[in-house]
Formats: sequence, C-alpha cells, structure tokens
Amino acid sequence: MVEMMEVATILKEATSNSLVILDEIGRGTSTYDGLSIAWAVAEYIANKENCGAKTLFATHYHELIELEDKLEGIKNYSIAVKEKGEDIIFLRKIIRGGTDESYGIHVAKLAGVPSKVVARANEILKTLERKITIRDKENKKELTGQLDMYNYKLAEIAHELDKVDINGLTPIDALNALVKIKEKLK
Amino acid sequence: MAEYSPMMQHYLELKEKYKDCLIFYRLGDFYEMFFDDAVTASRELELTLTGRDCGQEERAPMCGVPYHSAETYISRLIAKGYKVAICEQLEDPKKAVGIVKRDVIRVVTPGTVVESNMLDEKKNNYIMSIFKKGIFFGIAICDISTGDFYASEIKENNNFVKLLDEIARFSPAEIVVNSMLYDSTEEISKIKERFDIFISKQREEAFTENYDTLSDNYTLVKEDGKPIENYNNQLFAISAINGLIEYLNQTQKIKLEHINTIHFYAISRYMSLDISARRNLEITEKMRDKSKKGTLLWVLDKTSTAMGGRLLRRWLNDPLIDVNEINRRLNAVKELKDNIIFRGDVIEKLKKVYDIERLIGKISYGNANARDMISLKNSIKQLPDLKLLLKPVKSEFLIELYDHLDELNDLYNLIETAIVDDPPMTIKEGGIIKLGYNEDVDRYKKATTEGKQWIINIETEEKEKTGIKNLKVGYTKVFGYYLEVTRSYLNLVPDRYIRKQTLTNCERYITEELKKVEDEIIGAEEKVIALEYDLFTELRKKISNEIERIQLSATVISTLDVLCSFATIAEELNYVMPIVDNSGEIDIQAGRHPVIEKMLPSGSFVQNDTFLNKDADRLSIITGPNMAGKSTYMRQVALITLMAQVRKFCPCKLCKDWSCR
Repeated sequence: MVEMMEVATILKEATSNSLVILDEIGRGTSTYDGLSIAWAVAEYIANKENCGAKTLFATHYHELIELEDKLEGIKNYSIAVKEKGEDIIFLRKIIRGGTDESYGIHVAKLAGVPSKVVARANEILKTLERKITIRDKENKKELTGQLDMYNYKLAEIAHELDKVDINGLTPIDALNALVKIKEKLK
Repeated sequence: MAEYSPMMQHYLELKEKYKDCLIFYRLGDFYEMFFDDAVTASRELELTLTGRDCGQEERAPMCGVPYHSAETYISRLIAKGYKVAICEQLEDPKKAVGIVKRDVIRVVTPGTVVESNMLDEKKNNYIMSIFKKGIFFGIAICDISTGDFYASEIKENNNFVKLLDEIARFSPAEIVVNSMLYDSTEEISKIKERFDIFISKQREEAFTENYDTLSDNYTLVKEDGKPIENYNNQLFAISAINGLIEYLNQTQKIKLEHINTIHFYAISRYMSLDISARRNLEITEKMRDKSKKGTLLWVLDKTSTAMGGRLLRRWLNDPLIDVNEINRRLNAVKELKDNIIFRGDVIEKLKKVYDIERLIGKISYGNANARDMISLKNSIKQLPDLKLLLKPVKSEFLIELYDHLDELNDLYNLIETAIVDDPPMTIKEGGIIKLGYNEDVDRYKKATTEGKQWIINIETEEKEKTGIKNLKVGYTKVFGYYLEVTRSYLNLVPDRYIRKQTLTNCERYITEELKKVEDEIIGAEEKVIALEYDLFTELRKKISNEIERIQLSATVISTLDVLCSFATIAEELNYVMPIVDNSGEIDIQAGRHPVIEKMLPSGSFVQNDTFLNKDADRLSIITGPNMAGKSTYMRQVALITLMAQVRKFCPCKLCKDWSCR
C-alpha cells in the first residue's frame, strides 16, 4: 500500500523536468498484478503527454523488455553477470540490452543459503520448468483460438455500427441495435 | 474539606495555565513536581515518589531534582516528548514576606531547546508553524538557538503532499498548528505517521494577517535579501509567522534579539524531493536508525565549524534549481579547489572559529557567560585575517562573501579590553574584568590582593613612629582590624589612637588610617563581584545591539566553510565539476556512488555511465538479478544529480546535469 502511494505521488507530481527512480515496483503483489502495474506505469511515464520524465526503472519482470520496441524513448539496460560453472560473478557494469536471466538460485547460493536448500531449489526449478513448457504449449493454442474468435466478433460489431445512421435513429431503434450488438458477443 | 495550603493553591493556579506541561516548581535548592506531574516524572526519570503536606488529608505526590542538575532531567523529558515549564523563585526567600513570589520563566519544548548539551551542534533544531486555510498552507520555521527564521506558503496543486515535503526538508523537532489543521484529523494523522514529531495547537487568533507590527519588529526579506514589496501576496506566510512568534513569546517570555530577520522563500526555488526519495537516498540520515554514518552527509562533511556543518546539511536538503545560482557556487568551489594553499590558509582560520550563531543566541537570551565572550572574541579575531586572505578572490560568489565579511574590529577591542583571557564559568563570582577597564574595579581589586600588605605596612610604620616594639595588627569579626599594645608600652600610645577594647594585659586601638584601609579591604570583594557583574551584563547588552552585524559575518563564515569542504572533498575523492545547464540531458561518464565508493577498498568501485535525455533516451528499463547492483546504480545517478544541484562537484569523469526540479 505504501509503495503504491509513493507510485501514485510520483505519477501525479512528475513532469518532464523530473528524474524518476522506480525500483521493482509491483513487487509486493501477485506476479500478474505486479507485472500489469509495472507495465502500465512504464507506459504512462514514457508517454510525453502524461509525464515524459527521465526515468530509471529497475524491474525483475523481464516482459518489460518488449517495451523498447513498442514505445519511443525507452531503452533497455542490464547489469552484466559472468557465469563461471555453477557460480556467477557480478560485474556491476551497466550494459545496453535487457536480460531475462534472474539467477535467483545462484543469488541464493551467493547469499549463503545452505547448499542442501540450494540443491533442492534447483530440482524444483527443473520440474517446474518442464511443467510450464508443456502448459505453455497448450495455453498458446487455446489462447490464439480465443483471440481469433474475439477479433472476428469485433469486426462484425464494427460493421454493424458502421451501418447505423444516428440521425435517423429513434430511441427504440437504438435500443434494438444495442441488443443486436450484445447478441453478437455471445 | 480542607483548603489547599497557599503555596499549593499557587501551584494549582499555574498548573491550570500550563496544562500541557510538566511544571518544575522551584523550592529552595530543588525543582519539585506534584500530583500527576510527579507520578509521570517519577516514572519517566526513575525518581523516588514521596509526598508533601498540601493542606488536604492526603499528602500530595511529589518528586524532585536538585536545581544544579535539572538540565539533564529536563532534556530527558523533552526527548520523551514532554513540555517542561520552569517555575522560578522571583525574589530572595530571605527577604520575602509571606510565600515567595514564583512564576514560570520559560517553557522548554522540543523545538525551543537552547541548552547546548541538548542540541546536536551540526544540526539545526527547528520549530515549524503551519497555518492552514482552505486548501492552502502558510509555513514558518525557526531555529531559536541560532536565530534562523524562514517562511513560505504553499498554494498550488497537491498542497498537502508539498507540505509533507517541506516538513521532511526541515525535519523540525516540533510543529505548531492552527485549529483548522489540528481538527483535520486525516492530515494530522498523516503527519504523525510519517514524522516522529511533537505537535501542539496554537489558538487561531494568534495566526493574524497583521503585518504592520511584524514589519516594525523584524526585517522581512526575500531570498535575494531585498525587502518584500507586497505583503498582501504573503498573507498565509505572515499568519504562520505570527502564530509562531506568539508561541515563542509564550514559551520563552523574553524578546529574542538574535531573531531579527525573516527570510521568505518560494518552495519552487528548490528541487522538490518527496519524502520517500529523501529517505531512500539517505541524504542526511540512514533509513534504519537515523544515524549520520553511511549517508551522503557523512561522506561530504569536511566542515571545520559547527555553523558550516549545519549549513551543509541545509544545502544537501535543498538543492537549487536555478542554473545561474548553481554555477555561481560551483565556480567558487572550483576556485577553492584549484588554489590548494589559499584553501589551506582559509581552513586554518576557520578551524579557530567557534559556533558564533549559537553564541549570539546565548547572548540574546542573556545566558552567555564570560567564557562565551572569549570564544566570541577569539572567533572575531580570525576575521581580519580571513578578509585579507579573501581579497584576491576572482569568482563572483567569493567576491560577494568578501564584501559581506565585517571584521568587527570594534567588538574585538571591546571584549579584549574588558574581559580577562581565562575567566571563570560563572559570572557571579568576579574575576571577569581586566585591569584598566574600570577604575573602581581596579581599586577594589587592589584592595583585595594588596590589602594584607597594606596592613603589614601600617604595622611597621606605627612601630617606627611610636617606638612600640611589640605593636601588632590583629583582626576580629566583631571589631575588625585593630592595633594591639601590651600594658608595658601604654605610655607610648599617641593621642590619635582610639581605644576600642581593653583586655587583661593589653589594649586594642584603631586609627583613622586603619579604619580607611579596613573599609577598602572588607567589602571590596563583594563590591567588586557586584560591579564586575554589572559591567559584564552591560557589555553583553552592547554586543547584543550589534547582533545583526555579527550574524552577517557568521553567514559568510559558514558559507565559506561549506565551499571549502566541497573543494577539499572534490580534491580528495577526485570529483569533477559538473556542467549544469538547461539542456534536459543527464550525461554521466564513469559515475560512482559516493557513499558506497567510500565504503569499498579504494579503486574497487565499478564505474558506470548514464545517458538520459528528453527524447529517445527518456526511460531506461534495467533488468538483472537481485544483488547485481540495480538499486546502487539508480541511487548513484540520483545522488550525482542531487550533488550537482547542491552546488557540489560530482564523483564521475564528466557530469552534465540539466537542472532537475
């Protein structure tokens, strides 16, 4: 809550003359909520009309990397990490381009989490990754199918709307047109 | 039911007037507390709770502290968030008829502490008054230990958030509010939630818009030092000031000479840093324990004086946004950085300067002692040398400092001729005034030191004149000095001897001369103490009339100190001068985090570049594992930007900073 209040203040107050620093916003909530909030905030700030403040935005939602190609003014950076066998070395150097590696378990090991726990975490990670790949494949199919259906319906509605002559429409006609549109969505 | 005893009645009347305070009631050598106050104080200070007859059947709960150690107890209560009203005996109990006249002489609150042992020497102790009217706020801020007084108003959008920012910027020890704000429970609880602060309500009528009396008693100036043209644009600020002044009058009960100038500022002049940014960047205090170590202030503080230390903290808390102002100061830092020998000489002098601001605070309060005067003198002594050192400076800002530096030679001479170099702590035991300053003092002093010799001289002279070989001078409390002659020499006693006493084998006499000498000796000590005290307070008054001149020089000293500190840091830590302009670009090459760099072995901090502008490079999305240094990197950029606008050099090779608001 406090974090969101701070974000709220920033969004309300920041101007193109501001330097905004956002460190892992959305961390305190569920993954999808957090990602959605982070995404929306980044979009909002990047838009010159809303804010356009100079911003440093650290996040562990790798999905945000996509924004670089989608919106003007955004650049990806990451902190260089060198892998050395099982271990990683932080180079502390900021480099151009995003990364989707979080090295979470490496970090846990570095931080001194007992090796038994680290080993077990690695096992769990592998199982999870297998499951997710399978589910992702299934989901993708379903999701694309759904999206196509939806787009088709939208097109039909647009067509319907286009036909309507607002000037020659009585209130009853208008209601009927609405009912038709609603039905198309079913 | 029996009546309360007269003293207790008086106590209860006072308590009625100072309901929100603990009353320290002076009884002889103790300050006593009664009833609920006693219960509270005994719990908080671990004092033994006793009782006192108060005219009622039951004894009144009571506890007390000896007067000479009261300060420590008061400071502990203040730290725990209490207000303490000090009630003194206003007449000598020996001379009083009936009960001794007593009254509250001062109310000590967290924001009105002046005792140096309760204050952090490198930190201002502010009290802030907030006047709320509709959605607007007027604010007034004062440090009564130094006399600094500021005022502003907030009348834009999102005012309450801006108010919170201002509170965070000054971080006052106490806030005084009008009833409109006090009754706005939501806002009050938001303030309490964010700041550990003492809030008291002042009556609404105190917050008047009357600026006539105000401008008669105080100099009201804008940031550039010029007078305010139109008071009607500043009515919120004026209301806040009036509210604060009434509160100060109620608690301090004396006119404070050192509070004479009120600086009106526009909140838009400074970079606005919201509370969370201020806390997260750990500019002057750590988030966790509010300590200084590990903060930006900790890295940057190389100030030589307490005044400079306080000013540095202030500058760090309010970075400027005007490009010209920033660059003027940066050029001054550059000049000091480049001239190592000159800077060294200046610092050498600054180190000998005491806390002039708080010394004049004490003078104005009338509790400065002779040692404080010597500290003031020794500080002023450095001014002519400093002025001479500053003569060749070239940067505009340093030239201004040179012009404003008053050498105060007259005040130096005044103290130098009047006060001995090593006076005692107290001003009520004499030993303060130098020989040659006042004829009467000289005469009395001669009497006390040379009195014995005079007596011996009289004895020898009289022996010679009379031929009485065993004549001797003696002293009793009842008769004073006398000449003693044994029976066998009585025939030699001259007529001018006046007989005082007859004993079995001798007679005691006095002479005119002996009587005169006796008068000089006896009472000389008392007289000289009283006279020295008068002369000292007179001197203190004279100095107090010159307070504004001293304050001006003090400001020059503290500013110079901060600039020197910046220059020293820039050299030691290899900082560069930032280019500050309105380009809208941040271009940092090989930037370092000032605090973390200092905690790591030298040279091991990995430098990073940053480039942000108004167009294609507005938003950097930074990914990477936890602990890789994302937060450090981002804070580093924020701190470098802040340092550039604090008029300071930055830890990087090239720093271009547009002025961030």
